[in-house]
Amino acid sequence: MNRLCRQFWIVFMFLTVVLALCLTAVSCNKNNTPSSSYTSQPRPPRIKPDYTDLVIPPNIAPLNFVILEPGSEYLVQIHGAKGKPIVIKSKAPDIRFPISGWRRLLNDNRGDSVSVDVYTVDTQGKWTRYQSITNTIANEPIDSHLAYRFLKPNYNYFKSIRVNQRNLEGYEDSAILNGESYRDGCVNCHTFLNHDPDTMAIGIRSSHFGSSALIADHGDVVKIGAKWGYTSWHPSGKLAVYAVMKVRQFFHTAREEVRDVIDLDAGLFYYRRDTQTVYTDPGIADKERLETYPTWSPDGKYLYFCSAPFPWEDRNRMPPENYEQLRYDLRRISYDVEKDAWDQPETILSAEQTGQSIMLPRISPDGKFLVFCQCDYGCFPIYQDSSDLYLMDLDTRQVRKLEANSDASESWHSFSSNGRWLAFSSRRMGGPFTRIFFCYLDEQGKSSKAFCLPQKNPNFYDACLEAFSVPELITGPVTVSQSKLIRAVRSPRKVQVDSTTGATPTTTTTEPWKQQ
Amino acid sequence: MNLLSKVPVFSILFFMAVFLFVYLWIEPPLLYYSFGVYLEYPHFSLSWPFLERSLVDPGGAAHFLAGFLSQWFVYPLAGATIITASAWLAFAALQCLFSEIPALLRRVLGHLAILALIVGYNQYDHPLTIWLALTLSLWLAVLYTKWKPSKPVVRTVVFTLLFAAAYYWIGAGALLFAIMAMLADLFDKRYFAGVLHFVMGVSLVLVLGYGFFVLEIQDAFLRLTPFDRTLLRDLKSLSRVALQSVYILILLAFFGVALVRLLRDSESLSWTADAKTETPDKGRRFSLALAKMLLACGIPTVIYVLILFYSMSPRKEVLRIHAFSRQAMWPQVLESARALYQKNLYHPCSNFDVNRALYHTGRLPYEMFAHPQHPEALALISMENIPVSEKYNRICDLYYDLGYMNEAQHWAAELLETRGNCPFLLEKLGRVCIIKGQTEAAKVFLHALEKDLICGQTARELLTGLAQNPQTANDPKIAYLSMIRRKNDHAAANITLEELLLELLEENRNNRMAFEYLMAYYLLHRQSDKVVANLYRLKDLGYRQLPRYYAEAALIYMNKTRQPVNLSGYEMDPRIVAQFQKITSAFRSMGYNRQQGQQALAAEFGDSYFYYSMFDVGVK
Repeated sequence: MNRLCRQFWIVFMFLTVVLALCLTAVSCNKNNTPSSSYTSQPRPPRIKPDYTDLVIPPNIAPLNFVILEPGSEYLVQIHGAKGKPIVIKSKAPDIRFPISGWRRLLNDNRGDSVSVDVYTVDTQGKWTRYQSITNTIANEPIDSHLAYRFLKPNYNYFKSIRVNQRNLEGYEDSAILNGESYRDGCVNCHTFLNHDPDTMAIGIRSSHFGSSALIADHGDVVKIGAKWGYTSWHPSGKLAVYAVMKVRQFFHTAREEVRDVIDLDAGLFYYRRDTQTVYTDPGIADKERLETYPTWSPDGKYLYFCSAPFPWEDRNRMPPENYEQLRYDLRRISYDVEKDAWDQPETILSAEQTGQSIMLPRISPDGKFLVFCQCDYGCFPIYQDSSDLYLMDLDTRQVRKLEANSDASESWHSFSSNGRWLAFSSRRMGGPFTRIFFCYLDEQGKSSKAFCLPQKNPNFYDACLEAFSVPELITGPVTVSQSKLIRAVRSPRKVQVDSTTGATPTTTTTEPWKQQ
Repeated sequence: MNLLSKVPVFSILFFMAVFLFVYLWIEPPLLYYSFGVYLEYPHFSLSWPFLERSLVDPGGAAHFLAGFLSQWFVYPLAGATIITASAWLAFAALQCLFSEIPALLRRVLGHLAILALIVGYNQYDHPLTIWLALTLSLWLAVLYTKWKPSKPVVRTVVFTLLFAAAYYWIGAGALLFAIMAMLADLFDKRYFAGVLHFVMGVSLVLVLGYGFFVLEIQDAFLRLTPFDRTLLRDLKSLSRVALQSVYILILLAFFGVALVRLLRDSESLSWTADAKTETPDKGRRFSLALAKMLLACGIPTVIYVLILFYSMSPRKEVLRIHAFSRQAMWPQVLESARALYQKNLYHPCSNFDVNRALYHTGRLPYEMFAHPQHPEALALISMENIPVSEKYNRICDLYYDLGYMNEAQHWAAELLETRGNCPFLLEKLGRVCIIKGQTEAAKVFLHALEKDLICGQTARELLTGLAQNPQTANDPKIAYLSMIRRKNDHAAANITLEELLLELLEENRNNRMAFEYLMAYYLLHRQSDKVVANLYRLKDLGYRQLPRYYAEAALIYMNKTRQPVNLSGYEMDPRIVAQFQKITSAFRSMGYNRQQGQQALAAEFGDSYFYYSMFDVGVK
């Protein structure tokens, strides 16, 4: 008993000493905070990624960053008018905010702003305080999840392509479908019905398992025996329109982006789920024009798409003559989903007016705005430095360039379900490495400064050899499991689509880009 | 203890011999520089994400470990140690596992296994991942059979846990352990346990491999075995058969041992002969011991030498040339090429490497015909039947040297996707981006390279240089290539090598490599008229004298057309004229008999363009 007692006292004393030391350390630290004695720098600190002067969603994951100012120690305080500030003290310039404190702070200051104060200390122990960084917290949240394509900047060959989903309120990231699981196949054109993660279409191409489209609907997966390109669900979910393209890639001799892509031929088709049949209409598949990038208006009455006349005669020559004169118009066509009847297409904005090619139309869920890309020529804006995002007010048809653009290529934009946030791909961080950016759109359609997808490790992008593209905002995690999708891809069972028009695209085993 | 107490002198000597063989003959750095080009790149990176990614699949741990160990092959001693230690570990496991059978049989089995590994390396394959899986499986079998938990439940739990863990570490390589465990149980008359363990093994593969990890059914059962289709792609047939044989042999041996044990238990059979043996006298004992020793050393040695001799890969010299080329050790490339010729071997890739080495040492217009030449091997672009990575790695290097950065970037990126994040590709892409002024993209490639165990320092040096000088990163080659790089943009069409080189020269007349390759192209295609037509470019490039082969081509052209040639102010070397007269008169004296002329004139004129032009070969 005595021995036990002695041991107890030893442990007790030891813990007391440890606690005392900790408290001393904490109090010493508190004394070290540069609350009064510091030199002020009349400029904000340089940080990476650039998370300054932003409008951010109230539910976004912590915007961790690296301080690019010299220092042997760093102190960062983030605070708002309400709530408890977060103080981070670190020997390293990497600043990582605790997720719970961050969420609380953002929630407390919804519709207001938060300030980030950065202090650095030099080797002599002198503190410097930089001008505060102020970010506004929007009232409207962003959708909780983002589906995106994750791949190396590929040319002809591919081995590792994935469509991932990322929780934007945290850092969890997982594969929706990994092409490696079906012998290095391709996965592309993921499309969701009204931002709903339960209903999606996804395209797959595989030299071993063939090319097809998968439709996942509340946990069930159906494999369609046709290759789908860019797809858009009708808001009713009854049909999906997709592009079938004769895509070809070619290369440039000296420009920064080596790759270029052209559709030698293209048209739009649609798959009706009730009849399991593929159809088309001359209005969306004109033999004398190239049609691509379909998108439905939120009321389902109009299909918007891009359309261009062929500037070349020879439809097999690569690269085609006058390829740099290929410019797409923005068109729309009225559709009656009940009668399955199409009207005549009308041009909304012509390339002749803009002098540029109009690509990737996407309409805000309230039907008020249409955001599209404009680039010098062609159909693949991500490879064009000139590609920028433009916004059209659908009531007035007024067009203006979004403030969130950069000198590099912007493309693959997607609205959030509340229409206040835009996710898009941008090359502004350099070279072929496309990253995902977000910006806020106010009621007038004015965009805020864009910020990149936050990562837990703020140095993440420094050595990330993969590109992030085709971001699609969705309201939750995808419910169908990856294993179910993989088994569907590998399964020989598929819906053999019937075509009433004879225009059903054939499923070829050769990748179009490899046919070159 | 048993193993240690029998001081294995022969084994020590044997493994020393294995080490020396690997170190001196196989030369692990040749394997290191083959990774990503001739062999699948064994990836390894000093980063948590890489570790996490490696551990998401069954067998990922084995790949991770093999990747880590393979990095050290760049150092000959470390590489030889790793291969020898891997061989020893498997050998020791087999000795423990088969401790019941006579030592001789046991050793034979061990030696056969090692032979398979060495044969693989002698073929310049890299079966380390499969080997590690095999070794771990054997050691787990040792653990299971030696431990012998008596209670069936404990036995089943131990088996299940070991197998599940093994499946995660080494994929279906763990099935070897499962089968041995099952056989051990069956022949220990634990029939129920044996059958149960077999069923559990198969079920676990289905549940873990097919169910949990969503592998294809054949992958679930074959991953990381010598029957794994993805690993087999890279192995040559001899290595493949050797490894598969070892697997089967071990299973058969284990089956045989267990069967004999079962019979012995029931019929009092024994491994050791029961018959009484006479004790020989002292002199005879010595003779017997000597004979045994000679047999023990001699027979295996002869077998080893024979097998290794017949499994020798002719590509060793090709790999050596490639390894030196990768390190830009150009004089060594040319020296190694001699060894290739001495063996009467020719390989277009080595031809390509030699020409590049000749260019970089300034000897292309003077010595290229001292080496065997094939017109298509100059750039390999239109050469068929060369594996993709061997061909396009070289083409990528060529485009880079020529200043055609977009094509270098294109092919480096293609290879990065198909062969993975090989350090030399990351470095190439980093350099290309610096040259193209894409500093931020260059940093991404270099930061990724920074995490490489061996090449991280190169990345750090380039990053430091980049911080100081974003245009050139303080690297003279980058500075030169930035100057000569292609800047006129248009859509690249399918053009010939000649057209490409002319385009490059059109853009930059100081592109010396484009010029020398263009001239080499004309020489190889015996277009002396075009050689003559391009002599005017020599002045731009600062040649002080008319290079030998250009002069020879000019003489041939003059002789053919009977027209004077404008040598752009250069003088014709009278020695070349004399040589021309000598070879033409000698050939004339042979009545223009090609076969006779080719043989008779090779010794004196084999390295000349005159000779190549007459007989279409360079032979000296």
